[in-house]
Amino acid sequence: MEVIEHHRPAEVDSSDSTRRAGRSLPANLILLCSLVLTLAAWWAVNSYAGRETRRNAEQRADELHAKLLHRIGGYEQLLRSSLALVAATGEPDVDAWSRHVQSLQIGEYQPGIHTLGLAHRVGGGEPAGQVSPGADGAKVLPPGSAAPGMRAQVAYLAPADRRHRQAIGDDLTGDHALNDALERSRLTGRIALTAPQRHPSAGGADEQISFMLVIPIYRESEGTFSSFGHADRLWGWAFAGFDLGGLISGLVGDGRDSVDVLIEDTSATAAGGAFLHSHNVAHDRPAALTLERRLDLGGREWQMQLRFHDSPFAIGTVLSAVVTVAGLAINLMLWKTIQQQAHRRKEAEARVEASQAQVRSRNQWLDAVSGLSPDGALVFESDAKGLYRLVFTNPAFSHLFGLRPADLLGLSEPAVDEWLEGLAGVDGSMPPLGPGEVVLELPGPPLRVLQRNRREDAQQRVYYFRDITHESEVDRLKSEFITTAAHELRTPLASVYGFSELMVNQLIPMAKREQAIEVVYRQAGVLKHLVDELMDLARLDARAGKDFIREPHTLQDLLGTAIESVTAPGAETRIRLSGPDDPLWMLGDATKLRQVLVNILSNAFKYSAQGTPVGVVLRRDPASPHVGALIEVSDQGIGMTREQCDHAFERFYRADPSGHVLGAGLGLAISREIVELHGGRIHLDSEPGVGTTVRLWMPLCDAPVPTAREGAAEAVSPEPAAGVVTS
Amino acid sequence: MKQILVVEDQADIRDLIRMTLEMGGYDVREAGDGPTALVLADKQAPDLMLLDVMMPGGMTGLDVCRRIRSQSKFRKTRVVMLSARDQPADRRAGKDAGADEYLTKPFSPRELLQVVGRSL
Repeated sequence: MEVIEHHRPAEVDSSDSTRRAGRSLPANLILLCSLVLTLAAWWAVNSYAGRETRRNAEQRADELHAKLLHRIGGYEQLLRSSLALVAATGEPDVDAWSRHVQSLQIGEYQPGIHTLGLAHRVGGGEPAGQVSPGADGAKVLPPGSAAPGMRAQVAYLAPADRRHRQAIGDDLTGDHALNDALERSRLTGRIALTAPQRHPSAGGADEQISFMLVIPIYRESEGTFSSFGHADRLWGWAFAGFDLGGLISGLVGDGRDSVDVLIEDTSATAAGGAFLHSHNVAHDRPAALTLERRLDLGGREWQMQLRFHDSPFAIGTVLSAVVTVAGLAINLMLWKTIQQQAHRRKEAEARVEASQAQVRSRNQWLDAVSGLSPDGALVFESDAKGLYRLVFTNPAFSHLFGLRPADLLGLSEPAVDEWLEGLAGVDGSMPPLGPGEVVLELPGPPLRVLQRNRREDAQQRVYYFRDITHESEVDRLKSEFITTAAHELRTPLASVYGFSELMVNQLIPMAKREQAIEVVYRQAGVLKHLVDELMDLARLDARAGKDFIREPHTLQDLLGTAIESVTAPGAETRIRLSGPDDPLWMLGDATKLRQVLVNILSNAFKYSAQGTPVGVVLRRDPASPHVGALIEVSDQGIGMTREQCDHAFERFYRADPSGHVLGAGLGLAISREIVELHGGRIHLDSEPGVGTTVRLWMPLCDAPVPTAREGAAEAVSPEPAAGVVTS
Repeated sequence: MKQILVVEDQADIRDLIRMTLEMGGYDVREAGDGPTALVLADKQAPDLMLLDVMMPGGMTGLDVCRRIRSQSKFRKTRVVMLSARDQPADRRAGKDAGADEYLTKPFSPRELLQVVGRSL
C-alpha cells in the first residue's frame, strides 16, 4: 500500500517538559554532589594549608626564639670569658685586658657589641642580705633597694677609643637602668640585662636602642676571682653593651617576608611598647596569625610577637585556588555535559514525538481515505518472523463483518481466519484467506455476497472485500429474465416450427392444413407481440422515460382513442364510461399512455365473459394532495386471488398460464413502468369470481394556452369516440 | 398399438404433438394438466408419457414424472420430458425425476418421432 506521508511539527506540551525535568533530577543530583565535593576539597586544602602555615609559623617563631637566646647566650659567653680572664690573672691590668679584648675580635664574631668593660665596686659594704637569690633569678628590685653608698667605677672599657678612655672612672650606678641591672646581679649573683635604652645614634639620624649585660665578679678570700660568691665578696662587674641592630641583625626578615616581629620588654613597669617593630608589612593589613614567645633574658622578660600576614601567593592559597578552580571547571564541564545530554534527549524525544505524530496523522489519513471506500479492507504486515499480522482494518470492513478493529488488530492470518469462519455460520460460505478472487457469503440477515481479492507486496498483504450483493442480485434477476423470456418465446415458436415442418414435408392431410396455418399465424402473432413487449420493457429500462414525447393531452381524449382501439368496428361496446365534462389535462406521451389504457381495457375484456359490462370511471381525485385524476376500470370477470394480485405486476407473471388467454405476462409490468414514469400510480383490486378493478391515478396539469393550430385541433378532439356510451 | 399420453397445457402444441404421433401410428391420449394426466394414466397405464414441464394447476411435469416412477404399475412406462427450458440444470432435474428422454421446445416433429421410437 502506497502511503503519502504528511509531516507535522512535534507537539511538546508542558507535561512533557515537567516529565523531562523529573528525568534530569539524577543528573542534577550528581552536579550537586560534585559541587559539594569541590567545596569539601577546597575546605580540606584550605585547612591543610592553614595548618601548614601555622606549623611553619610556629617553626619560624621557635627558630627566632632560639636564635635570640643563642645570641644573648653568646654575649653571656663573652662576659664569662672576660670573667675567666680576671679569674686567671687576678686583678687584671689594663694591658692584659686590652689584649684579651682584642683577641676576642668582638666586631667580627659578636656583632652588635659596642662596649666591653669592667667596673669595680666601691663602697656599700653592707651585704644585701635581705634579698636571697631565688632559684629562677631575682626579679626587678624595688627602687631604692640598692645598697646605699655603693658605686660601680668603670675600671676598663673596650674598645679603647677616646670616648671610652674618658669614661674610665665613671660611676655606672648613675644610670638608672644600669644601676638596676647592677643591683640585680649583685643580689642574685647572676647575669642581668638592662632595660632597653634609647640613645641618639652616632650619626644622629635614628634613635639607637642598646642594652647592657652585666655579670658580677666575686673575689674570694684567697684573692681569686669567680663568678660565684657571697654578695659581700662582690668585687665588681664585667659588662657588655650591645645594640638592638646587632642583636637581631639577620634574624628578622628584611622586608620580603610577610612577617612582622615585635619585641617588648615586659619587665619594665612603665613599658613603652615594643622596642622592636620590624615594619615589613603595611600597618593597615590585619595579621592572619599572631604567635607569641616569651624570653627570659638576664632577669628581664621579653615578649616576642610574630605577626604573619597572608601572602596572596602563599602555597596554600594557590593550592586551594587551584583546587577550587579545577573543581569548578569540572563542574562546569559536567553541567555542560548534562545540558547537552538533556538537549540531546529532548531532541530525541521530539523526534520520537514527531514520528509518532506522523504515524498518527498517517493513520488518521488512512482512516479518512479508507473510510470513504465502500470496500472492506484488511491489511496484514509481515513481522520479523515472517508471520503476517493484521495492522489495519477500515470502517467498511467493520460494517460488513460487524467486527471492531480492536477484536482483530494484531492477530495473525489464521487467527483472523477463525474469526471470519465463525461469522459464516452454517448458511454462509467463507473460504479461508488466500490468494485469488473468491466469492463469499455472510448469512446476515441481510444476506451479503462479498467478493474477496488479495494484493500482496514484500511486506504487506491487503485483502479487500467488495459487496456484490446487489450486483449478484441484479445478475440473478437478469439471467432469470432472459431464461423466462426465452421460455416464453420458445413456446409459441414450438407451434410455428413444428407445424411449419409438418407442412413443408407435406405430412399434414389437406383437411388439417388450414388449421395448421391458422395456428402458425396466431403463434407468430404471439411471438411478435412478445418481442414488442420485450422491446418496450428494454427501452423503458434503458431510457427510463427519457424518450417519451411529453405533451399536454386530455384524459378524455386518451381514454376515447383507447376504447376505440379495443372495440371492433360495428360491434356493440361493453364499456360504460362516466367522467366530468371539463377536460382533464395531463402531460405525457400519448402513445404510451394509450398503450396502458388499452392494456388495462383488453385485460378486462379478456378475463371476463362476453357481454358483461366493463365500467370506466374518470374523475378528479379529491383525496390526493396533488392535483390528480383517477381512472377506474372494473370488470365482472374471473378475478384473481390475493396472491395473484400481489404478483400481477411482475414480469412474465400470468395468473392463468394455460395459454387460453393470449399474452406473455408483460402487459401490466409495462403499464406500471409507464404510469410511474409519468408520476402516476396503478393499483389492482380483485376477487375471484366477482371481478377486477384497476385504479389508475395520474397527475394533472394546467390547460395549455391554445395556439392557433391547437385551437383548431381542439375543436375536433373533445368529441367522444364513436360507439362509447356516456352515462 | 402403443399408447402415448400427451400432457401439455398449450392446446396448439397438443394438436401438433397429436398430429405428429398419429402419423407415426400411435394411440394418443391428451391431458391439459398434471392431475388430469395422472387420472388418465391410472385408468390405463400408457406405454409412454410425453410431459411438459411448466404447467398450471399446481403440478409440474417433473412432479407427474416422480409420481409415475413411484408406482410399480408404471415401471414399463417410458417418460419423455418436453420443456422450453434447456439449461443443463433443467435436464439434470428431468433425469433425476426419472425421465428417459428430455426434449426441448421448439422441437422438430421428426425428432419427436425418433425419440419416441427409440424409447419404445
